[in-house]
Parts: sequence; C-alpha cells; structure tokens
Amino acid sequence: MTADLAQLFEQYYAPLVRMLYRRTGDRDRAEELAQETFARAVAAPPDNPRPWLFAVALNLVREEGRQASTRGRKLELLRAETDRPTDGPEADFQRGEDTARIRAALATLGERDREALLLKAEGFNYEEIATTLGLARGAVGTTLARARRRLVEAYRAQERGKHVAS
Amino acid sequence: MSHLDEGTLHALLDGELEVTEVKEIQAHLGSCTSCGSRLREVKEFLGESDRLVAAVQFPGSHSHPGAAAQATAAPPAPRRREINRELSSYDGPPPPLLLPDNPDAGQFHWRWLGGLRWVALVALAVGAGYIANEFRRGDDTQSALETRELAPIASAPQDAVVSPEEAAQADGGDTPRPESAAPAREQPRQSAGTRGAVRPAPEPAPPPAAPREEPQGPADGLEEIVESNEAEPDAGDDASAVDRRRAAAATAALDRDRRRSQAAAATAALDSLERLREAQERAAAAARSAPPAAPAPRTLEQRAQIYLRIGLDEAARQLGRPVHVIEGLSPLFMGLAQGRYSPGADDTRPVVRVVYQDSRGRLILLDQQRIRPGQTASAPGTAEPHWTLGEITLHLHGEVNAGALGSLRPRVR
Repeated sequence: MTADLAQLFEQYYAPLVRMLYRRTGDRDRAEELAQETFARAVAAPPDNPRPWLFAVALNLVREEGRQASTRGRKLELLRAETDRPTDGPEADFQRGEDTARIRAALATLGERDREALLLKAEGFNYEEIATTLGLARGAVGTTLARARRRLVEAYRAQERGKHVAS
Repeated sequence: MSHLDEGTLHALLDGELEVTEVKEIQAHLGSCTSCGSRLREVKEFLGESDRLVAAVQFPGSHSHPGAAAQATAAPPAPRRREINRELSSYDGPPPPLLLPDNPDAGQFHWRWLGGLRWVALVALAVGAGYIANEFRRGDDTQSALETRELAPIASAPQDAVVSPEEAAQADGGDTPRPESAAPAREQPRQSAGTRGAVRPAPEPAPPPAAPREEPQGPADGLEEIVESNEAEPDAGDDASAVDRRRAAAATAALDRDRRRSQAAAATAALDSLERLREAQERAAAAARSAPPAAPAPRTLEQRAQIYLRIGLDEAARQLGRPVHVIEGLSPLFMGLAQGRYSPGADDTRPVVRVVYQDSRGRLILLDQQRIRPGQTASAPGTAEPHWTLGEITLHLHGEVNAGALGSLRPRVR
C-alpha cells in the first residue's frame, strides 16, 4: 500500500463506514464494504479519490442489495442493532425503535435520493454529489429537496402510526 | 422574478449558490411573502432530515434519535456532543486494510482448485514427456540392435547363421578382443548366439575377425556407433572399416564445428550482456544527474490539510455558534482539520478550518475551535495571529506572511 493510499485510508475510512452503516444498517457489513472499496482503490488508484471511493462503495451496496434479494437478507436494512446496551434496557429499546423507524423512512426513498442525502450528511457539496452519483449539478438541489421532504414525511407518518397504535 | 423552486431554496440554505444569485433571491424574498413562508418550511424540513440522518449512529452510542427528531429547536450543545461522540467512535487509527481483499470469499477453494489444476497439468506434461522419451529411447535401442543384427546378416549371412557351438566358442574368449569394446560387444554376440541356436547352421562359419586398431578421436556421440561397428562380428572387412573410420572422422569434425559455433554464440551473448549492463549503468547515471521530477499537483484539500469538507450547518454545530469568517473575502470551502495541524489548538479534537485563497493562489486558513470547560487556551508561540473570541479560539495562518495575516485579523467577524 503506497503512502498516498494509506493517507486515503486514514482520511476516508471512518466517513465511508459511517455512510455505509447508515445505508445498510449493518456495521460489520459496512466495514467489510469499506475494506472492499479500498481494495479496489489499490487495484486502480483513483484520481479524484473522495467521489470515487463513495461511488464505488454505493455501487457495492447496490450490487449486494441485488444479491441479497435472492438470499433473503432484505431484513438487514430494517434490523435495529441493539447490542452493547448502555442506557438501560428501556432506553435501548426506545432508541432501537426510533432508529428502525428512521431506517424504514430512509428505505421509502428512491435510490438516488437516499444516496444524495447520505452523501450530503458526509459533508459533500453539490459538485461532489453530482460527480459521485452521475447527476447534473443543477439537479442536486431538487434531488435533495425531494429526499428531505419524503424522509421527514415518512418518518412523521410512522410517528403518527406509533401514537395511534399505542 | 418568478417564485423560487424548492431546489433553489435548498441550494440557498446549503450555501451552494453564487453571491449574485443569493442577492437576487434575498431581494425577491423581501417582497414575496409566499416564497418567504416556503423558505421557512424548507428550513424546517432540512433541519429535521439532517437530524434524522445523523441520528442513525453506530450501535452503542448514546444519542436518542427520536428526541433529536422531535425537538426542532433542540439545544445545540447536546446535538454537538452527539456528533462528537459519533465522530470520536472512529477517531482512533482505522483497522488494517486487508489486502488483497476478496469479493467472493466463498470461491476461495475454487481458486485453490484452479491452482492445483495447473500443477496437475504441468505434472501431466512432464510425465508424458518422460514416457515419450522412454519410448523413443526404447525404439532407438531396438533399432540399434536390429541394425547391428541385420547388417551382418545382410553383408555376410554366413556370420549370422552360426551353430551354438561356434557361438559358445566365440564367447569363450579364445579370440583376443579390445578391452574397451568388450561390454558393447557382449549384447550383440549373445543376441546373435541366441538366433543362431534356434536356426539350423547350413555351413560352418569362418573364424572370428582379427583384432584391429581403435579409430582415433571419435566424438562422444559417435563412440557408441563406432563401438557397435567395431563390435560387428565381421569387422575385419578392411574396406568397410576404412569407410567407417572416415565417416566417424567426418562426423567428429562436424561436431567440433558445431561446438565452435555454440561457443561463439555464447561469447556473443556475453558481449551483448556486457553492452546491456553498460547501457543500464549509463541510464542510471543519467537519471542520477537529471533534476528530480516535479511532484504531482496537490489538491486544495491536501494543501489545506482538510480531511472532511463540511457546510455551514455542520461548522455551526461543531462550534456551537455561527462560524467566523473574514469580511470581504469569499471562502473557497470549509472543513475539518486535525487539531495537531493547528498551532495552539487542542490536538485531540478537530478544528473547523475556513479556507481562502488570495489573488496569487496562496491559501489563507482561519482555524476555529471551541474551548472545552476547564480548558485553558495556549499560545502557539508563532507570529501568526492567535486570539480568543468568547468560547472560540481562532488562529489565522497559511501560505502568506505574518504581516499580511495581521492585517486580516481585524476583518474577522
């Protein structure tokens, strides 16, 4: 591994894992996918590493999603990880439920909208989001507007459903 | 100006519009209540969606996504702590990169089998070659035996058709034979004797040929042929013996020529190797004397030592207040830099770095870091401006001299 790649790894590993965890809901898988992304960077060092790494990582998630659909692993997306409890069982349960609702709300978004939202959360500007997702720069604002609105509306709908059920 | 679409409002809040566009929009918002109310709505959606996405954290963290989502006017300090915790969960060195990574771990054994297949193919090829060589040697031996046996039969049938008594007499050693040819002669004589034993003897065979001199200087590959010729029972024929000697001498001469040409080729190869080595040494010397190659151009992020670009919102969350900027200058971007790269900062935490560029392309960096309770601000010991505003320490540095930086300090707002 060259020094440049080591620097890339140190710089982007944590944001990649964080984004992949938000996308997949599976920390171990997120770390595996991040490793796989960097392994591909070793094979073909990118010129513009940040959009390249995130684009490859998102492609891997999509590819895995297609394979997972045949292996019945879809539920991973909605699985709430509640290992390592820290605030007591009630707080952990509440947090797990909320996280599951947010993931469910994220799952209602279109693929592009969700990815644009996750990249924005990692501090990407519009230019980088456009490069990573292959969008026109002028379309990023509209994509993010749609994604944010749908996410909030889906989450609120679930909140209402929770209150009605209780 | 027509009403503003939602994408433009999001781009405005994300800080992605040019200054001229922002001024136009601000002018429109001042006169259009409809767009003003939409802007407030968009701001609410943006804030809430950002909080929801940020609430999906690694398992084991202490944040409460529901609380974060419900509190549209959540106090900034707890939210900032959540983000710091989230970021700090990966503050340590990343795990080692496992190379080569294997996208299809389940196919590992197939690759092993693929390797074994190659080994098996090589072994099969070697075995087939060995067997073919054995067959060829067997054929050569057989043909040599047949040649040795048939030649005397064709030239002198009375020699081949011998009685067992004559064969026994020939093997008995009454006739002197050259010592060097004895082992080679043993097999054909036994063979001829065996044939003679099963065939009737029409007439007595003549006495064995008298011993003759060894041909001088045959080549190595010809010794067997020469010996086999000598071993023939009727080798006493002078004319054929002379012919064989001449043939052997001619073949030996050919062999010597072949060896000379091989030696000449090897010498030429050595010369070419020597020339190649000299060329490599000349190239290495030229490379040493040549000026070093220009380094690859670095990106602005690398020059500014920023590991993560962030927006205004994230910067405000990091600092607990709006980010400080230099009045009159347009920032290129802002991001997080490691504390150890900012003089006077707490090196265990990142600093928010606003990056500017002057007309000559030199970077000007404005670092900001919130002071933790109980933390004392330390002076960096450099001539660069370093001061504290409220809970924020600021440090102005970059690729320009300290005098220019000092003139910029009063413009920091």
